[in-house]
Amino acid sequence: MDSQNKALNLFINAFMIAFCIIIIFPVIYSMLVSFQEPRMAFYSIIPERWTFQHYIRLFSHGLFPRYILNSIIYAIGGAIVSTSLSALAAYALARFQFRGKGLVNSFVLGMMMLPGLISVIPIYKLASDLKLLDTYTLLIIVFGAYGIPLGIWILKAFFSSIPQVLDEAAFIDGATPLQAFFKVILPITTPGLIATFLINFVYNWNNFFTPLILVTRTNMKMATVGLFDFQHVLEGNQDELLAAACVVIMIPSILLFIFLRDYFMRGMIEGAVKG
Amino acid sequence: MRGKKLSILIAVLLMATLVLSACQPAAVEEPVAEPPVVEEPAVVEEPAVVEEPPVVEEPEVVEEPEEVEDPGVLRFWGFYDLTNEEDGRAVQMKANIDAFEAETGITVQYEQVAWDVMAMNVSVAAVAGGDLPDLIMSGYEYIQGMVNAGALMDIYDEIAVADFYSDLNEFEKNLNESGGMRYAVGTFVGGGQWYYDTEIYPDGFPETQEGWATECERLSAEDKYVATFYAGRAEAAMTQGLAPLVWSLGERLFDEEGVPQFDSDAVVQAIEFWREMYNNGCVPEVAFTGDWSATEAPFEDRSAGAYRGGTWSYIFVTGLQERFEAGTVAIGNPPALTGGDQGWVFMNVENFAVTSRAENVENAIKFIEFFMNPANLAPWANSNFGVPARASAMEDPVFESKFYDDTLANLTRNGQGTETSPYYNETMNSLSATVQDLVLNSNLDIRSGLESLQQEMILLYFD
Amino acid sequence: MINRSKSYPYILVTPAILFLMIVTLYPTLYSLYLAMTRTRMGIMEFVGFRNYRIALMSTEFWQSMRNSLIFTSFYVLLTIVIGYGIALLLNRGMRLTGLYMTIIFLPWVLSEITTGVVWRWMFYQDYGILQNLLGPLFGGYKFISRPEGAMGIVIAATVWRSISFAMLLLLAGLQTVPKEVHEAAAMDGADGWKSFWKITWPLTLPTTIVTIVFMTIQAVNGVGMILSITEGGPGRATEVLGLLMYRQAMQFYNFGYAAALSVTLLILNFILAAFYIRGLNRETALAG
Repeated sequence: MDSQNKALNLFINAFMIAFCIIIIFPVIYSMLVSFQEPRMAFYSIIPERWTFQHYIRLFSHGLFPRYILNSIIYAIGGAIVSTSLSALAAYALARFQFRGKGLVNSFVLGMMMLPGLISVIPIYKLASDLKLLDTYTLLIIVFGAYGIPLGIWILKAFFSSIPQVLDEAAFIDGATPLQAFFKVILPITTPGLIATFLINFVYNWNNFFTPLILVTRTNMKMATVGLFDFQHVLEGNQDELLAAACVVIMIPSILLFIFLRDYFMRGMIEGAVKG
Repeated sequence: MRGKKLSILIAVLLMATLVLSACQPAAVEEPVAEPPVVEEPAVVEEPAVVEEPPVVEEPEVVEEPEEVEDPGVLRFWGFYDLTNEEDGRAVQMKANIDAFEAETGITVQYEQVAWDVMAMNVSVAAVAGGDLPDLIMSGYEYIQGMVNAGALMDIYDEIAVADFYSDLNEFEKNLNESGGMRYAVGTFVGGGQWYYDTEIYPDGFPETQEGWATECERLSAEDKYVATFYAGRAEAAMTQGLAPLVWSLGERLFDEEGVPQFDSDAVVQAIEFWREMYNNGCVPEVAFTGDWSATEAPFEDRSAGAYRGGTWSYIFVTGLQERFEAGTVAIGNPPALTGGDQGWVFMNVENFAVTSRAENVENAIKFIEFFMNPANLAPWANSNFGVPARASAMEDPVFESKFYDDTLANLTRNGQGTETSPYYNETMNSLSATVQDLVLNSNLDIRSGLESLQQEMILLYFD
Repeated sequence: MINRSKSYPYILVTPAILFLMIVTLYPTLYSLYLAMTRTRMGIMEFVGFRNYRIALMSTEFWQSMRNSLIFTSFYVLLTIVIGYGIALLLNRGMRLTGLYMTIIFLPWVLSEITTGVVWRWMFYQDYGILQNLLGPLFGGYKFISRPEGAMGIVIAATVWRSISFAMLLLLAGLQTVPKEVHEAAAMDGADGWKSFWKITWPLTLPTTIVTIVFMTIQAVNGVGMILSITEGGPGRATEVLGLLMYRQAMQFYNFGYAAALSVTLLILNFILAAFYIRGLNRETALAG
């Protein structure tokens, strides 16, 4: 029975490893392509001559550094907005009993189920009427709002897991609920806040479709949209250059994810299990 | 605690900004003897949360010479990435802009907008109240759409008094002037052009449907294609590929009011022709499914005997110039569909246009005049391998070559101005998707597909 | 529960709700109005249900509906089946589970455009890696230039990217099944397969339903991926409803027509969302 189990385990592990290789292959492939000489990418998978020229070119010519800067601004800005707003709301929902609480809960749930696609084009039309197009404000607000349902979902779970006695203790010491929030609860839920912030940051950083529609002014574009443009603007096969751009865009997400995986997973799972 | 977190984040953001903005090493291995590349010179945007306020400078118009006045700025949207040193057109544009700035003291605020989205961006900005520059570039076929969107300014009066006006060639005037109004100024004329391999076609390039079928049989045996051309899902594929075929039968894609007539017999026949070529392998598959550069590849590696490019093809097709000068590639006549007597190529003029909300109209006109100076126009047209719109610029020695002789002959004999319509972009784009479907799927009925497209176009735009 | 001051919770909750209303709810409602307008020469005019009528008469619309249906069904099926399988394997709690999960999750934290572009390269007509690998197996079939092939690529790529999402949800569901249940079944002589069908599957059904609905919503949202890989081509083979909507709005600025399309999309989503709510109720009822 035990050797059978061992063999089964071995088999499963082998299968999983193969599966993971298949999953990760495209990512590795794009990295390999980015180091290839121009037009050499399709003759061999592994570069014969490794070169950094595409990365150098990306950051010395043209708008790519600007695009990266824009991405940083939008991603961080949006994440800050959504994390802070959802923290406040989640605290209220987890701790307080008030009229309309059920309504709020359903509302947030409902918003979670509205695909972003539906609202982007009206947002575009409204923003253009308000002359908000092509500003940093617009996309930060939109990203901020998009992240709120998920943020509330995750943070409510975190807040709920903190025993009430802590609040009570603070109140006995004479603190207002808000003070209790900032000084006692919040520090403890830092993992939850970080998780929410990171998830939102990565989601915003990678967001492609929404900024494609809402930001059309060339030098306000995000890196993801810029990449899409590159494909059209670049004449001739410049896939290696595009690959370098892809890798640059991928790096923050990959690094954040590998080192902070626990935060990510915890956030998602807490929300999934308790939401 | 929260404040601490915020300030950490802000510090990180600032550091990142500093690092990235410092990260501009001089260009390393560029062959062209140019100084180190600087990022786009004139576009200054502060990463602030506020939209860039419109630049309002003192107007240029002064009666008597005054003391020092600020010459002002010119906001200009152009096609090219001015930091790209491998594109002759970008290099030339940059040189012209620099010279203009030096001569007039006007600061040019340049922004790149790709040629295939320029008209869209401009029209949308006009309609939605967005930011419009003073001056833009545009191909001729998009002008009417932009006029309809209220995006362009009528500059007939300003141009009629310009010193280059009398020198403009008739083609340009015909296209850009109508009803006493003029919305654009053409800089050079370009158009489609068929290049063929003289070794594959020693007797010349076939100009009829039957000719193509015959050559196809011969060449298929050698694993070669009759020709390659871009026929993908883009409006340009229709303008450059389908429209001339329709013209060869004496029909047009739009009527005089710009209403599409996509379900005519001519269009059906054109699509049938393409479908036949696709199914029989006379034209490579990438012509219909690939992108521009994938389409050029078969001609570059000589597996296709001909290529329908344009006057600009030297820029994009590797080795074309060398082969033409060596005599192994020649410029041929376009094919006509059965029942038509002559094949056509489209002809186009590239324009400057002043937007309806331009704030620096004088500077824009000055720029146009500067550009139309033969000393500036000739190299500009040449960098695009186009024919300058001013006769006097044509006398520049840079145009004395077999290439220009043949090009001029081609455009004169085979060229026809592109059609236009208030909804050119939209309808042609939809047409290209339908055409691609019809060519690739032989079990679809061409006529009914076109009829339903035609109906939809009318309902959406013209009803 | 604290009941210190009546207004505190409202103050806390209001900013978030306000944001959501302004950015998500209001535009969605606005699109209902937009769908009844059209803009001619810069003037917006009310046209009633005309946009919907045009859509219903348009072959392009029906084709995109058909494409959306094909895409969504295969996508949901594959993610659920594969996701569930992987979740089962990972549920065994092997040593390398953490590593596996990290790798499987990787595509999800990458952007649609970067991954889409890579998939496009891998299937380049003449020299894409996967094209060269798989093409000969199908007699030189050029995947990306054929309607069915392109749809296959797009489905594969989107599944690849979001497998982890489904897997995570399903794994969470699996982990709510206590080990004792399995052990009890094993003691009663039930083998692996029976144990799965009779015990695990029914117990995780609510989670599975929730995941199905989530993935269906994702399928609707997955336009970015398709845009990056094929841009709707060849022809209209991979043009799903969301892509058609994007094109109509951003390339042809037929905002009214695009809004009508998005309303159609919304209705589709509502039907799916109804399932979500029911599934959630079932799940809480079972758990509580």
